[in-house]
Amino acid sequence: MSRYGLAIDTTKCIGCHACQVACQNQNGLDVNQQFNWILERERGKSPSFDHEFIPVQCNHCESAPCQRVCPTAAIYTTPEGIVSVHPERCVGCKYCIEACPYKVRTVDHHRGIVTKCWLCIDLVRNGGEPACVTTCPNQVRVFGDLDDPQSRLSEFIAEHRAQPLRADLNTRPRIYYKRS
Amino acid sequence: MVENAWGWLIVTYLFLAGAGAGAFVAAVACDLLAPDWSKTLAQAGSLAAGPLVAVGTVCLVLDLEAGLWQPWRQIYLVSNLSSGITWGVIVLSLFIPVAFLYAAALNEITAVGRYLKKYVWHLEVVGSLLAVSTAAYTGILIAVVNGVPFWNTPLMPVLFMASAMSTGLAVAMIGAAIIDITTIRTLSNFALGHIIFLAVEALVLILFVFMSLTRSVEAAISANMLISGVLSPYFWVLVVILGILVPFALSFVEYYEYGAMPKYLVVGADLLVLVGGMSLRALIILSASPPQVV
Amino acid sequence: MTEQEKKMSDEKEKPREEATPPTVDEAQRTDDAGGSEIPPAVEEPEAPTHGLSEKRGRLVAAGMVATVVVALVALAVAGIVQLTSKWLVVCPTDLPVNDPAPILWKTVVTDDVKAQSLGVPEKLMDEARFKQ
Repeated sequence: MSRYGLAIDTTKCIGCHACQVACQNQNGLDVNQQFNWILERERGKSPSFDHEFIPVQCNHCESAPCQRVCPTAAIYTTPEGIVSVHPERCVGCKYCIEACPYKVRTVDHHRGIVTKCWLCIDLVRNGGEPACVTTCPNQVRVFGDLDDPQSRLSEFIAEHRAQPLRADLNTRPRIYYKRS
Repeated sequence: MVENAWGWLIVTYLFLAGAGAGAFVAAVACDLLAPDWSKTLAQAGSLAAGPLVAVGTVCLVLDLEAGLWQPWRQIYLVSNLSSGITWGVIVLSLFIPVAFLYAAALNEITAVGRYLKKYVWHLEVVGSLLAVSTAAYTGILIAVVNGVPFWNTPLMPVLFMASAMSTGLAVAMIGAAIIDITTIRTLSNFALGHIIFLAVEALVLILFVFMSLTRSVEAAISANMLISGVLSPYFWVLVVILGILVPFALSFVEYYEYGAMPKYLVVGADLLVLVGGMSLRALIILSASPPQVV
Repeated sequence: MTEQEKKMSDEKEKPREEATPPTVDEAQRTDDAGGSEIPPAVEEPEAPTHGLSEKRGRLVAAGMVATVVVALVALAVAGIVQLTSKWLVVCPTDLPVNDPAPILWKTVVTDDVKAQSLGVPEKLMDEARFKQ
């Protein structure tokens, strides 16, 4: 079975937010709801400074803290490794938001549940890629199967020594970043 | 990034449940250790515990989203024994009825109460275990996740339990004053209880804040918010001065001048302890900051 | 009921040395001038528990009042923090209120070609008002 993941090259990200808008479009979100965020980090002082855009979304952790703490067991992992939510079981206690170290879960006030990025698994199962990956004008994002050593994703991670964010938090995230 | 999803409803629940659990323990302690002269306090504690935790639980349910609009979803809440909330639901479902039954039994209210009078000791044992679990589980719940480094320490349940016992005693004393204002003289004995509980709470709070300053960057950010940052007026005025130091001083005076203090100062000291307890819970929840991921 | 009320008001008026209610109750009953018709001999079997159950309603009410007091404390603290937090936020004082962008745009798209120096014209710099 495939184990899907993402790789993001922040050296190419220009902070256009197209991935954020595409995601909102794909999932029918409100203007003030989002499943991914573009964080900014500035280092150094003029004239030697660097401005970095870092897109962040659910890492679909293999050891997801949100899944561990959900009291209604509404959070489950699909066979492809996507961390997902049963919308009819979630009661909106928001414990998963407090538990997520990356703070990438949001409350959907229309349905009263907590949702997040689900890697557009319906598009993927039909042979496509997540909306954020397809939309990016700079091809910052790489989507693929982590278990396949010949996939573009695995090659990208190996070639650029991409690392997940805060691997020390021991959640085993599945989004890898090339940041330099 | 949604940094903090828990607001005033959760803070109110933490405060009310802690105070209710503490009031129960205070009532049991009075009934077992000093049944003759502390009867009013035992009565008050037992009568306040159930309603307090019940109102707190209502606040908890009101904070749910889909679980409030479609209440039948709440049946799922006990599905995951790895989750602190599941344990909390189990503990609260047991503690609230036991607390009400204990109030009925100890004070012989209604036929059920009169029947249960002979089982008071059993209710005290079971209820105390449930009360301590109630006071502790909320601390454990927020301590086991690394999503908020400020909360991720074993000192968190200790702090919550110390605060619960302290506010519980204060509630029991206020209740005793309501039942019979002339018991204020006897309540002076409990000044020693206040001194001890407030000292323990102060010590745990100092430890917690100091350890937070060195534990991790994000914990230090939150701790600094409390000590010298945006939340510092609330921390120093509401939690430290009004919530701990002033009641401590008043209790000291009360203890040594047995019964000579004006009644309003005794009750006032209890109210200040409650203000401090609520402010402490609010500041802990509101100052949460996530790990720095980039 | 009136007897009970009278006893309650009596308790409030006369502060007692002993604090336990049953003792106070019995002392009150023996002290009642003309209110109670019960002879003292019948008092003895009325153990302290009888005094307790007479005040049942008052006890339950005391528990409810204590709960309301605690809830009010919670409400007060929440209100204080919410209302005073506005004063803690420091508003920036260096935001220009009159936005020079429209004027600058007109000079950019104007038809007559004039030599201009780079940067914001002196006039606009002086005219800028800042939000207090």
